[in-house]
Amino acid sequence: MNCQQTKANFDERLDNQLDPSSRVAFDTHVNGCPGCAAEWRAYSGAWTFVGQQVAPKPSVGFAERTLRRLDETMPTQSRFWLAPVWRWAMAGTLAIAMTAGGWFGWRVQDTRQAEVQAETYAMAQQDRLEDFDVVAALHLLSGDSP
Amino acid sequence: MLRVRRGDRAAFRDLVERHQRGVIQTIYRAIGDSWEAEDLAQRVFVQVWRSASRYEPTAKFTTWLFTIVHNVIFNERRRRARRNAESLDALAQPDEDTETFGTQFADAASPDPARAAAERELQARISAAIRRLPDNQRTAVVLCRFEGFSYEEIAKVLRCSVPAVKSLLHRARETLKEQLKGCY
Ligand SMILES: [Zn+2]
Repeated sequence: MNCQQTKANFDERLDNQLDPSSRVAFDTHVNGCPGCAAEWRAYSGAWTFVGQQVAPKPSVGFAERTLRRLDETMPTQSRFWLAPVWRWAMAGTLAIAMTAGGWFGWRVQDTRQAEVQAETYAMAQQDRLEDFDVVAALHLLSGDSP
Repeated sequence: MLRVRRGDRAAFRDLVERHQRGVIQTIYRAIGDSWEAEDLAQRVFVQVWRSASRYEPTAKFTTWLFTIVHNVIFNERRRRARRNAESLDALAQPDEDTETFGTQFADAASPDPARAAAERELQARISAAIRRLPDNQRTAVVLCRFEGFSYEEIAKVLRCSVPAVKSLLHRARETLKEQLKGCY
C-alpha cells in the first residue's frame, strides 16, 4: 500500500471496514511512513477525541412523563371530532348552513332583480330613458353588477 | 413494535425505555440543551406512537426511529434559525447548559478544580464542533460514533446512498480535525 492508497483508506480503517489483509498492509505502511503516521494520528486522534463527548442520561421518570404527554397530546380533540356522532352532527349542520345560505342568496338576488326592474320600468314610464341607459341597465338584470 | 402498532401501552413504555438514551443523547448532541433534548425526545416518541401504523415491519426499527429523530432535530434547528433566537454563531457557541452539564461531569470525574475546568473546556469544544457541523454530517457522525450504526443504516436514515454517507463522514472528520486541533 502506498501513501495515496493509505490516506484513501483512513475512513475505512477507522470504521473497521478493511478486510484483514488490507488492514495489515495499512498498519504496516503507517508504522513505516512518518508522513502518513502524522496524518493518521491527527485524523484518528480527532475521531477518538470526539468520542469522549459526554451526553446526559435520561432523567428519572422520562418514560412515565412520555406516557403522560401521550395522553395530553393524544388528541382528545381529534378523538372528539372524529367520533361518528360528531361527524354526522357536523355534516348535518353544514348541510343546513348551505341550504339556508343558498335560499338567502336566492332571495337577495330575487329582491335585487325586482328593484332593478321596478326602477327601469319607472324610468321607461317617464319616457326619459335613452338607449344608452337600457344597455347600461342590462347587466343589472343579469345580476352582473360592476 | 408490532404490539405498539396494536395500541399496547405497556409495549410502548418498554420501547421508550429501550431507546430513550440514544434518542435523548442524539438530540442533545445536536441542540446542546439537556432539558430541550428531553422535550424533543418526548415529541419523537409521541410521533412514534401516532405513526406506528405506518411502520413497515420490513424496515429496521432503529433506522425508522432515528429518521424521526433526524427530522425533529432538523425542524427544531430550522425553527430556531427562523425565530432568530439563536444565530448560527450562537448555535455553535458553548451554551450555558453545556457548561453546567460539563461542570457536573467534570466535578464528578475529578476533585481537582483545575482539571475539572480543563475537562469542562474540552467538553464544550467537542460539543460546539459537533453542533457546528451541517445537519446531515452531524447525524452521520453521531450515529456512526455514538450509536454504532453501519454505513447502510445511516444511509437509510438520511435517505441517501452508502458512498454519500462515506463522503459525509469524511468531510465531517476533516472539519472536526481542524476545529479540534490542539485539543488532543
Ligand atoms: Zn505514506
